[in-house]
Amino acid sequence: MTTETKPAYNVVGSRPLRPDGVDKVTGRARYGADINLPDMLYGRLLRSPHAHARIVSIDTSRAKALDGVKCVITHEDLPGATDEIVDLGESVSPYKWVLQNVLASDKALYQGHAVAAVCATDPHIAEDALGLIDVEYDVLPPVLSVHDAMAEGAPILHDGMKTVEMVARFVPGEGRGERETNIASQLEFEHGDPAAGFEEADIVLEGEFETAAAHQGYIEPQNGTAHWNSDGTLTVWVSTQGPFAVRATVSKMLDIPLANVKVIPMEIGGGFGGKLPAYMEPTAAVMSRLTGRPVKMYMNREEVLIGTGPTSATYVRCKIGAKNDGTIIAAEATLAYEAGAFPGSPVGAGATCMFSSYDIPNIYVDALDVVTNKPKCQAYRAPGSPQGTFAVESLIDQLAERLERDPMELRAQNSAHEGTRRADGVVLPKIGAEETMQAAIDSPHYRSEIGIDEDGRLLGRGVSMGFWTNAGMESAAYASVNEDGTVNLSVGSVDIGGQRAGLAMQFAETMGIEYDLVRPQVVDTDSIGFTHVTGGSRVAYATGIAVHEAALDVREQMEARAAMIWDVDAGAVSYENGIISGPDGQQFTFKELCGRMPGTGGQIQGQADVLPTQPGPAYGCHIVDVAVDRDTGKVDILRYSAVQDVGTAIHPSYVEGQVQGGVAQGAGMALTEEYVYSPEGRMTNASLLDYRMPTSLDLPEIETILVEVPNPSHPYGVRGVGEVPIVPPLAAIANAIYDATGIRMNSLPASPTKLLDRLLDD
Amino acid sequence: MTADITVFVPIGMRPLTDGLRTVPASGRTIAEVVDSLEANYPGFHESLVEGNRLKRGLTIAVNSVEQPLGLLAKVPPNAEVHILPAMAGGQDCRATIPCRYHADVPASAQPTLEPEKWSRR
Repeated sequence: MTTETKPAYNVVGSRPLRPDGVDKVTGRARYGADINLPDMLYGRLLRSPHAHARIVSIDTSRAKALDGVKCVITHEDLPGATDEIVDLGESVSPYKWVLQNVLASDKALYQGHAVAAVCATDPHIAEDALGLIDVEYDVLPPVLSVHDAMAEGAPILHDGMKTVEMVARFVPGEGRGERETNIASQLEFEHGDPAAGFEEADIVLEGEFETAAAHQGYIEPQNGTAHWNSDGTLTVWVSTQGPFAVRATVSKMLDIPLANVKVIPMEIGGGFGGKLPAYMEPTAAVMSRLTGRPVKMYMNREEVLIGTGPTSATYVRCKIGAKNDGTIIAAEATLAYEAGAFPGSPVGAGATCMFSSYDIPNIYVDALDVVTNKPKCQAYRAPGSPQGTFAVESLIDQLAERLERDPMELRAQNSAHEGTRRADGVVLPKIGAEETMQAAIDSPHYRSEIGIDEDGRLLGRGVSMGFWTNAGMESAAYASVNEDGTVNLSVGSVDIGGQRAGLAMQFAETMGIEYDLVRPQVVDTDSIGFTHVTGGSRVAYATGIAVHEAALDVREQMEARAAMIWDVDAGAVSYENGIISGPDGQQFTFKELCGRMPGTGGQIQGQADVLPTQPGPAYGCHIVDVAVDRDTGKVDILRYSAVQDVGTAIHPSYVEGQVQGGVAQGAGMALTEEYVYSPEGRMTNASLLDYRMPTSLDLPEIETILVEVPNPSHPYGVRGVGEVPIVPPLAAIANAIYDATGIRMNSLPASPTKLLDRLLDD
Repeated sequence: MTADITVFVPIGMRPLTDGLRTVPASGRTIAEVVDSLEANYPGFHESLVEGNRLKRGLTIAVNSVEQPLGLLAKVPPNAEVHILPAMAGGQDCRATIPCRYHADVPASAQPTLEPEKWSRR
């Protein structure tokens, strides 16, 4: 559905083939693992078997003596750690922590923490050499949950760490806390008068909620190849969401100029936030510089699970207060998110997003970032929002039951709208929350009956809203117009979700030409202006504006070219729908004028470098029917509908795919996915056999309803679409389980074991 | 210049404003607004500025729109200014100065952080 009359687009809204499709289905697409260079060495990482241990000594002499080994390095071979705050593209962080996560220094802080690296002429020799590195550990008790981490007398991960305020982290003052802690930082939001709001409430509902760490689950493991040249330049081939972030990290760690590092992003087999940081690339680069030969490194699946960041495991305590007429007038939450070994959980985003589907006048949120002996968590699709939203949406479901109200009608009554203040005080711009809720209420799914299961399973339906802020940030685009009327469009945004197609479509729409005339490509960091990461659902929006601006640049130059040819003022020439018109009925088609470029000033290139700031927040509303087997505790999803405000769907098929993918990942977090640890802090399910992600056999066809409330700050109304669909599934499925069984699963995943225990207790 | 700007003070910075949630300020750029705040509530400049830029990890929103130009961003008359953590996946946080929680104050003043409330064992 579209909420207002949409302009008659020619390309936007159509469903053309993706430009990278043939390469991918024929296996010709080149991924990082396909890189093979002359004299290439193979690097491997030695990882800590202990979750928490002091590194007493590392003896690499036996490994270095192994025939075929060319280099063994430890933290001492990296440039010195400093407290300098660095912005390496994916987040701001003290350099020492970035460095220590690449190779541990004095402490191993999680099982899988890299402590040494080897490169050799053969990957098997490199693997053998790892067994010849002698590391003496002083094993320490691990901290494996936020509760353990914040308990009195908990082992401290980082000597000297004090809690800091995320916003006012540099407020001067004396005596503001001397105790060492694992609470790395705190963030508080408050607006209105929460205490007065709860005082005024007729009903107050409260609960505690937990979620488990879940991995992004990309198909392609991390990989990277670095080649140091004798002229002091470095080339890196890598699977990443942020080529410029990798460039910054490698430049910093090798202490060489940014311009000396060229990062070539390969095709990427998924990322979902997990491929924002650099893991092995700096190590490969250091070893390449030491050996003078290219060094290739890649992870196996176990390494991906134990050595790269999942999303946080979380604890949320939440309270809402409402009037008897259903108006929610107060809300409060305390969030504690695991950051893993180094500070930096997405708890700030969780605090910002969790209440933002609703217009609540009084809110207080207390958010804590807590370090634990687990891999440093990383971004994962709408990082932080699903977990906080799970708590809020569970309580709203309870409120609807208490008031005997339809759960969607109650949500719609309290919907956020343009002018609503979020928890952080920011006022929401034009949004589509109300339209999304109404579309859900009107959907065939919501209006259908659940029915009775022939197999005797318990059936239930649940709903949930979800919110994500989306992001803007810098993007560049470069368009080279060819004399045959085709265009090479270069961007720096790695294509994870069909962005090449979506960007070419926006460019073609602005130019008024056919989509097939535009050949988009993702280029290396030497070949395009600075472009932020592919993340935050920002590419279709921000890089979309960049290609639009580049097209406008081309159009302006074509108008000037036509004016020169016709010998008229440029102001007398106009460009519309691929036709350049001048006085006296003179016209060129786009292709005709392209043919005139040689000999009239040469070819035309358009470019743009943009920094847009109003990405347009996104809302989703999900409806799910489940069947619960009371004998096994297994939950089957019978029907799932995802309603989402997408602004304008540039390529509806890819938008639908993004929504469906988000639902699948959210369903995994709700039902099966979790990191399971032994008491010693070792992950006991570090394979995809035991770490159970949903497959196509586990899920029905995800029905999508695209609501289009155009973002006024984008030329075609784009809102980011990739992240918000992972937000509602946790609560929607938990609410459906309750509807089916009468059991509130406040701790996710609702795995068969956990749910069966609850069913048997009942 | 008229103090027509409303600055929303994050809870962690309210010690600088004697607990006030919002304070008036003047200025037509963020830099001028920070100077105005500093004049009335010393400590803001040190809290927000490093060198000639906003501290990393911070963002400023003017009328609810984040300002990538930082200190150079224009501020229209009667604007609202919010001081926020920069939002990004896995946003980091670090510093040398601790916040008011875990301060050397009675546990009763830190109700959400009492260890017994967190211990599940």
